[in-house]
Amino acid sequence: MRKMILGFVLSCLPFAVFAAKENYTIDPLHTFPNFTISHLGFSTMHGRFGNTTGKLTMDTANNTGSVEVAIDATSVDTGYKKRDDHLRSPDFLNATEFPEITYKSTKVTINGDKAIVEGNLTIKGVTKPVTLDVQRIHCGSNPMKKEEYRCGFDATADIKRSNFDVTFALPAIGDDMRLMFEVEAIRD
Amino acid sequence: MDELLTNPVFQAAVIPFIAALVAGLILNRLGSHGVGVIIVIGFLFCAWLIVDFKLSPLTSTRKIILLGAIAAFTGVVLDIYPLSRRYIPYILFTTGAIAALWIIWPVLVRKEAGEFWFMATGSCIYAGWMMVSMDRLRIMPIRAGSAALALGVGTGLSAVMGASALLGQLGSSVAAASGAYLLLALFFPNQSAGSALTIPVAMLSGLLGIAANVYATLPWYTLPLLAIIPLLACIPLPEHKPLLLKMVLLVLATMPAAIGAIIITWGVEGAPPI
Repeated sequence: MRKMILGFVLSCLPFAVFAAKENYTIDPLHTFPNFTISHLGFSTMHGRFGNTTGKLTMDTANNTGSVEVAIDATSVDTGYKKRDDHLRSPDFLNATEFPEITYKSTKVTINGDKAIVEGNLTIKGVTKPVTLDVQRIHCGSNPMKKEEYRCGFDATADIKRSNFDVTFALPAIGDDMRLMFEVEAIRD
Repeated sequence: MDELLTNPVFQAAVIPFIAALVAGLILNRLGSHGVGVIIVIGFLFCAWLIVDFKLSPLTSTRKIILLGAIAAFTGVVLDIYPLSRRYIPYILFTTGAIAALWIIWPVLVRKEAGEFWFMATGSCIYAGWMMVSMDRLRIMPIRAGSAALALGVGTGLSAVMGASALLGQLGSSVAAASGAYLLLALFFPNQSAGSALTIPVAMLSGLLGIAANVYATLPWYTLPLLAIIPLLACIPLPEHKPLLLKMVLLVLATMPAAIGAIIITWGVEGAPPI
């Protein structure tokens, strides 16, 4: 009898693990990578990317998960077309040649409503490790659409653009950039 | 000093001019052939300051710098060991076309058939034409230098207007170094041009124009204007007039096409975002 119970429990284990690990698809209408950068030392300029796609997994049982995001580099928007064209040019993002900015996690550690995400950020074909500080993780049913379950969070990271071969106009235009992500993802 | 080295005007104009001038003085003193190579020397100094000589990742801009250096080396070799002229124009056209395809390949592969062929054909013709039309000027130093100056000014400043200061600076460095070449010609009337001038200048001007169109926002219809510059450098000149006058006439003949390209780009794209 003991063997039967043990066998039953063991056979259910994969299902339990499967149930704790949930897959999500990034909601591009509520996910926007933002950035700030010093403009000639006078002010802090803000910008954002309009198109982001990707997948998340959340393993609440093990307090881990994964993140895989692709940002359309051509969708950069600072509110001024001429500057956006310049940011898309080979001077900065070289968006025609490298249309995607990607981030892929290598380790996710969830702690309550916070998480630390370690991963690799690729800009202009250069890949460097970047750690995201994730805050305010909140999951639940969409109040406007009960059958839809979504998770959201805010994430930040600090990078140096020169690490990604974006060296134009250094040091006049700042090297330090703050990345801020507002992310929402819908459970598959 | 650091402040000077990061100043865009210093990087794209002063340093290339001085580097080309010093190299030209040395080569002329040595009585060397192919003094025209000093233009690419000025360009490479600018490239070193603004992009460095790293080859990874191999972006379109780095490919252009690499091809400029290879073109200069090829030009010097052709000046020392001339080949039969019979096939040279075909070889140059094909080389320019292949180089153009290499530069725009990451974009071409994402295009639909119609746009693919339009972009590929246009780029190949522009780069190929530049190579062949500039090659005709290799035995005419002042004409070659004037064409290089106008191509540098036109390509460089149009690229700046077309939202790429990087490509603009590289183009402008060709103009600055060409200015040094023309200045030296006043003191060394027997200064040669050779394939060492025409091949790299044609390669760089062609590819920078294409890159500014494909990777920035330079309107494609400015390129035909730039393409006629080597033709304008062939205008008839009075035989027994001073060199300086001939030089001024050539600059006056070639510069309108460059200025036209700049004005058109400014009209379409507006002033650069500073």
